[in-house]
Amino acid sequence: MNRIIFIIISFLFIHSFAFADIVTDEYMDELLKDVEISAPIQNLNYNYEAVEKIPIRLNITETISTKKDEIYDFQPLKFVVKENVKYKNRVLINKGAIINANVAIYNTKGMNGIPGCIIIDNFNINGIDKNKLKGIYIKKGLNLSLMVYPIKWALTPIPGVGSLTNFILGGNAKITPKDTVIIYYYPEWGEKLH
Amino acid sequence: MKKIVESLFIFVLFIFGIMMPSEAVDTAQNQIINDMYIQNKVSDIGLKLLNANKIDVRMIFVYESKNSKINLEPGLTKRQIIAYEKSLQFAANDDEIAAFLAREICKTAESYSGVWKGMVASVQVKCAPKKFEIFFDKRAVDFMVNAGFNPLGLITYINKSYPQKRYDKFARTNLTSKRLANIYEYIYTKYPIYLKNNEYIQNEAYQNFLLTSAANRKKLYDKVKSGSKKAVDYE
Repeated sequence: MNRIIFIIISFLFIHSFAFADIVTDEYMDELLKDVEISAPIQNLNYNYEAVEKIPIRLNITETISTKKDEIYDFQPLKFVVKENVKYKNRVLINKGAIINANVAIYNTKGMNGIPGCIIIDNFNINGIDKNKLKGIYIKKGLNLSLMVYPIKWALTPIPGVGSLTNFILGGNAKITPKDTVIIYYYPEWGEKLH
Repeated sequence: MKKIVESLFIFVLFIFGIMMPSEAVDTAQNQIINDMYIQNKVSDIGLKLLNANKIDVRMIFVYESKNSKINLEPGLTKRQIIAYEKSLQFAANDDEIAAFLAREICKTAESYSGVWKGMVASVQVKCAPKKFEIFFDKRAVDFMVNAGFNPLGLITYINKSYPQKRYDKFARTNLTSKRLANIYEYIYTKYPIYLKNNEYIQNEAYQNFLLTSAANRKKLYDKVKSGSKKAVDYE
């Protein structure tokens, strides 16, 4: 009898240890094994007293759109500076300079006229602190919800008809080389006083 | 005997008449102090997220204890983010509070964009939450990183607080496992340092995520190995 109790206790003891094991992330460990990784830029020491801002006008080099399979998160993009960017009579960025950026996130178009959306960030400009850029550009497609919702609500009394408007899709978001992308540089944004 | 009964009666009166109100006052005071503490914490984290991400539209953060009536989507109508006790009880640290607030900030910021002072955008978010859910999750990751929080807190927070439905084909929301997999992929793509130096590996909620997401993580692994850029169909 004692032996049986001993076996049961031993089993429970070993079993509890088995459950206490940490699950490791082997897939990720392998993917990141030999990859060099830098720390992300954070914006913790801000001081937004200054208001002076300088627009930086850009053109994308290749068209991007939220059409399926044409875009992905963190997709690298190239922009050309449209005109000289000056501050205090000094040229900060020359016309024609190439600037790298990334697709931050995108959202495809949806039912009920919801438009696609592209957000671009991570603009890398030589000699300019990223934290002094209000550097997010958002482009949306054609928003048809303004038309869809009133039609839907007007047709709701007729059973099933109002729901047909669900199938009206919004427009894709698209940025072409002809579009001017504007981001703002705040040269006087400084460090937080502690 | 009569004296004993009288003494007992006076004692009972003393207990209920003097002690109880003072205890009640103490409890009420403690409740107020506790509420003030949580309110300050929520406001500090919320404002830090707004400032670090240069979000130049107004919104406020309100902590509501469990007795308050639940108000649906005040973020979209009044630009007031309400952190209910029911939501915050899942948050075990600042990262997880930031995770909850960052998602709400994304939603509220959307209510400022577009025609009629964002009214149409608000209706879209309200009527089609599924379309925006993963979009807001990913944006929340960016907001958290910029403000110095660990984005894995979003995974642990969602893993603890959102249930898992059977299907999402005709549902108003995505499967939670699908959301988690998308967040995980986004962190891997954009901020892999948090996965390489994983501070959450010992966290029970994160361990549970690893345990339940093996199939989805394998899909991501296959995608990366094959060099594909197509969106993965997570389960």
